[in-house]
Amino acid sequence: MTTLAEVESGKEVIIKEILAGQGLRNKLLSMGLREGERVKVLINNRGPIVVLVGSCRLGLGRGMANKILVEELGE
Amino acid sequence: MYEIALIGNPNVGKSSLFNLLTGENVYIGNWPGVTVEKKEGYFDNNYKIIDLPGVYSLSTGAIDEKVTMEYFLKNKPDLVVNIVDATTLDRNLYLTLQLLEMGNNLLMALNKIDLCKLDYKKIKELENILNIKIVPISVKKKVGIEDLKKMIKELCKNKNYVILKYPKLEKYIEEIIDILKEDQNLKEYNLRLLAIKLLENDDYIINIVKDTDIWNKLEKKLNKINEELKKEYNGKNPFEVERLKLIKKIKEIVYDNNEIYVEKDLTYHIDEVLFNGYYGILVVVPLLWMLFTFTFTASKPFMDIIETLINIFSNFIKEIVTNKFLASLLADGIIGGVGAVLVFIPLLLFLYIGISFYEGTGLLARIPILADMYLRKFGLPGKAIIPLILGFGCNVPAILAARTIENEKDRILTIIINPLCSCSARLPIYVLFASAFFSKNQGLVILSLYTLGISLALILSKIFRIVLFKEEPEELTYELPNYHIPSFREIFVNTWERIKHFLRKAGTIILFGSILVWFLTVFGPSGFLGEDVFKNPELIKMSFSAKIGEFLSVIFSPFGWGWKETTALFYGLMAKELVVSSLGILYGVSGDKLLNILTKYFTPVSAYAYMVFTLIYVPCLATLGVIKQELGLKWTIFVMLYLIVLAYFVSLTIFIIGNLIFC
Repeated sequence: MTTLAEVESGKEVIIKEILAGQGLRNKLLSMGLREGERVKVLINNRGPIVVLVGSCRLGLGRGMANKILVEELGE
Repeated sequence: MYEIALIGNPNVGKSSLFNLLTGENVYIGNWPGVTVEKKEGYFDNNYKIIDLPGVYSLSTGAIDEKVTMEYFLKNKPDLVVNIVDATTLDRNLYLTLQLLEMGNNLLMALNKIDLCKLDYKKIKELENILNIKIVPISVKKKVGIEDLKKMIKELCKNKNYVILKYPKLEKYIEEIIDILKEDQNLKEYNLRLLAIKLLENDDYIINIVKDTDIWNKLEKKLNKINEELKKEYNGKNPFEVERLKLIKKIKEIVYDNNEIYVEKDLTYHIDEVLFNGYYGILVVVPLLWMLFTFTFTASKPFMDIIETLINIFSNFIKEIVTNKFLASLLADGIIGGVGAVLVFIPLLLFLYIGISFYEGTGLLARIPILADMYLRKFGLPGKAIIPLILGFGCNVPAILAARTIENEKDRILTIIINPLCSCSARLPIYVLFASAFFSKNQGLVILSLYTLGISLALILSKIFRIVLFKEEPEELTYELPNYHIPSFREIFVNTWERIKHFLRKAGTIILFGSILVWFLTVFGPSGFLGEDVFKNPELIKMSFSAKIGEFLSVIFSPFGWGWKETTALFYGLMAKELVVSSLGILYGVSGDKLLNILTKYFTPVSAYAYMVFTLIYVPCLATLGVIKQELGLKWTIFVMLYLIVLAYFVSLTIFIIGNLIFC
């Protein structure tokens, strides 16, 4: 398991755990970032991270991405 | 009259649907007590639609969410129209379930139906699971809108209240409602929604019931229930677990597969450049510069036209009205004041067009994310970037642009430091003094003032963040819509309504302020001085404003500024550029002679301190008016006070150090 912030661009992951207080957690959940959800990391360079959830793109700050534990999926 | 609440996630086409349903019959105001825009519209006269802010869930974190929550706590609309994006159904359902939990007459408008594979049969199945009516629509292609209108009318007449109940949780909800019922003060609230949110431990909701007589009893009950639920749900929020379970079930029935497929489309490639992390920010700089130039350069000729027309009109009044007093009141006081308000119309028009254009393209969601890593260091949110940049043109549109910041504390901070961004009206003051005293280094001196302004803005935001707000700026998660070319309609819709709101709110303050300043100029302790006061230094000396200047000049005696210099600062409150012209009037000279005479009254060091003072001290009346419109009187007074104190101490420090070095 790693955090979302460490996943390379182009890789798909499954969200395992969201380490955040109720407020932030609720926000992420309602935006579609949910435990068990498949997510594709589109862009992860130095700055903010862009992920694809369902058919929708989300931009996350790195601080936020550090709070999301994920497991990488094979090719 | 039926009241219909329109609600949905951001970026699902809610505003476009609102516009399609209501056409031109729109009223824009504010939600009570906050500056979240409230839009109401009508169709077929009998149906009033309230456009609730776009939210992902019913919660109480951001101000938009609080507004939505308050609405449902205290109102019972005849119908709730929930617009849902069919392409991200499972995400959107989270809100839908919450709306059904509290009990609503709900109609789902399933948008973007053209882009997804949901067929008639699947929609029927979804209708059965949720026990609601669904109308498939496409806002973009204008498909299904008439069906939706028909269904809205039908459901307003024959209501179908649905309450979604989770078997394991229902008895707890009822227990809580029973206690809530005992308190008469809570009568106006939606008790079921209160109960659910109390069980979710929502602090905002707890605060509502905390002061009631039943709180002790309620707290005991809640603690007991929480204890039980903790075991049952492993410490997770039980409602969250149940909602996600139901959504998963729906997904299995309605969806064929769960594959993620990304097309490497234009959006992907542009984002790859933008979010590169090294040169991404370099793309943002020209984008911001374009917005700045568009707002201020494109509006300039229109502002000039308005100013000219106002001048012609006020001269005309002076010609035809024979009574000197009346002529001056009408021409200089009222018409001048109206003019001071009207010149903002082109500025705001182009600001709103520019911002809506960026919003429509998808850029407005992205720029803040990129700016965030830099601004966060100073305690500012990423979205503060646009107000900060626009502030160098004019603080009025800059402060209005801060509306896009959802977090209340973030928005207040962004607004209260904005006057430190040196607006273009302060430039004439710098130019005058720099050319009189620093003719060899004019550019450098002016640049130093702009740098000082922005540095103070950033330092103070850091200080205010620590002292006043005590919490970090909100972390960013943004939905990034695909890039597209915005439609003409999208750009212009609601612009005029927003400007009208400014004219009503801030406009009144500017107008009355102008008339007050006029009064203080043409009147003195001896009575009416005549309109020549605007040209004659001997007359203006007898006015109230000169008396105020004289009185205040005591404070500025360390700098060596007299009543004339202080009175000019007083006129600067009206509009900063007036400092230059009032100095001219007070000294009784103009043009090159003004440059020469300044050297008699100022030393280079005191001139620099004077420039620093005009940079920082109280913003102009229009800026104060718009701060009052956005944040209320308390914050407006705070801004005035902190800026005056800051201006005095910074310029005094510079004055003392300057004198030590150069004298």
